[in-house]
Amino acid sequence: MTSARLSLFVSALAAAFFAGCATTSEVAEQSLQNAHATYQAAQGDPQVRTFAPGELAQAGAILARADQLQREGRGDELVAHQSYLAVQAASTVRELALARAGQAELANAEAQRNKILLDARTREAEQARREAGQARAQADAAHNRDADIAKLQAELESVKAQHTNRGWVVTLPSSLLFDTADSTLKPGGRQDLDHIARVMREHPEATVAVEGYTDNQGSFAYNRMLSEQRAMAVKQALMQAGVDASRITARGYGEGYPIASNDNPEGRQLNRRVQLVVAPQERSSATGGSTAPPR
Amino acid sequence: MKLMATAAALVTVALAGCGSNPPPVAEMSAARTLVGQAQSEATLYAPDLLHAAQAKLAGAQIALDNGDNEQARLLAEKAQADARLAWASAEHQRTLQAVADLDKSLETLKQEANRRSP
Repeated sequence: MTSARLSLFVSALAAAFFAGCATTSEVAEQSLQNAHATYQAAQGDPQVRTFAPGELAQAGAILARADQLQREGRGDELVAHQSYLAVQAASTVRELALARAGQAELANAEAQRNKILLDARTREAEQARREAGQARAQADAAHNRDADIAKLQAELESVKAQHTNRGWVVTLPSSLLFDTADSTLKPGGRQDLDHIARVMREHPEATVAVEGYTDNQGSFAYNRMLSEQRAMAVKQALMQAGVDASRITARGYGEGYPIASNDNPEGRQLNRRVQLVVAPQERSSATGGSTAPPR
Repeated sequence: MKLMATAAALVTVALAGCGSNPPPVAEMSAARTLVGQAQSEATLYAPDLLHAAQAKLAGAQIALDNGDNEQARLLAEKAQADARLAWASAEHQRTLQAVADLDKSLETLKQEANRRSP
């Protein structure tokens, strides 16, 4: 082997060495550009900056190493390889950031869920408290109503009212209220009615049915008319004493429904009467002629 | 003869620079660990990325067995990068799924609460 040939051999070897390891082809250049693009996309993502800043810095270091390999002319394969690692690292950073953002959202939704549950429980507690309050108010109202009725009963008892299934019945002799065959109230009779009117005013729930009765002297029609007129006169007196007309019904029954014998003067005296039937609360049947007088 | 020695030295350098590296023990070990970690979640949520990582790890092992240490090192490094991405992507998908599930249960809960309220 001559020294010239040897020299040629060495040159060829050196060329082969540098060609194999040192030139950067377009392929490597492209993979490096791709790595830069992927990294910049990650860097521009606000979620990456918020949720994975440390990992972004690491991806940046991997990319910087790829740049360095290219600058130093370390060869296609190494630059392409390092560029691949940089692309994967930048992609990993984005996935991590999205995962962490999702976990933050998850925590937020969890808090929201707990709030809804808490609100529901609070609402239920409030509902229970409200219902308890309503029940108490109702009980109080019922208690007041009972007390009202008890007071009314005591007052009606004081005017010698009798308790019947229709209500409290106050029986006033006609002679106390009217002159014979007349339907104009006497001043003395008005006092008794004032007493009833006061009770009615104090108990706005109560209603009163005024019923006129006669003995069996005279014609049936006349007695009916007279008893009706007397009942109306009593209604008028109660209205004048401040009781609303809607709470008063007036009706004449004539000689019907006697409470004593018409065969003697004492019995007839008892039959000539006006009855006031006081009901503590408005009865659905107290709307007119259907009201049946006591037997 | 001096030239001859130079040539031999150059050949040695060339072989050392491009061919005969030490086996990438640390890189292989790290790749195995990362692929193993990714497996638990990525099997369900990022199977394609996981397969890519597994394939590169397998390729690295083959290169190592063939004595191509440099190729083994590069593949092991790629397998690591792939496994990290597979794991992160699986985390992302799993979280999305959990958010969707919770949103659904939230909606149900809201409707229920509205129904119950007067």
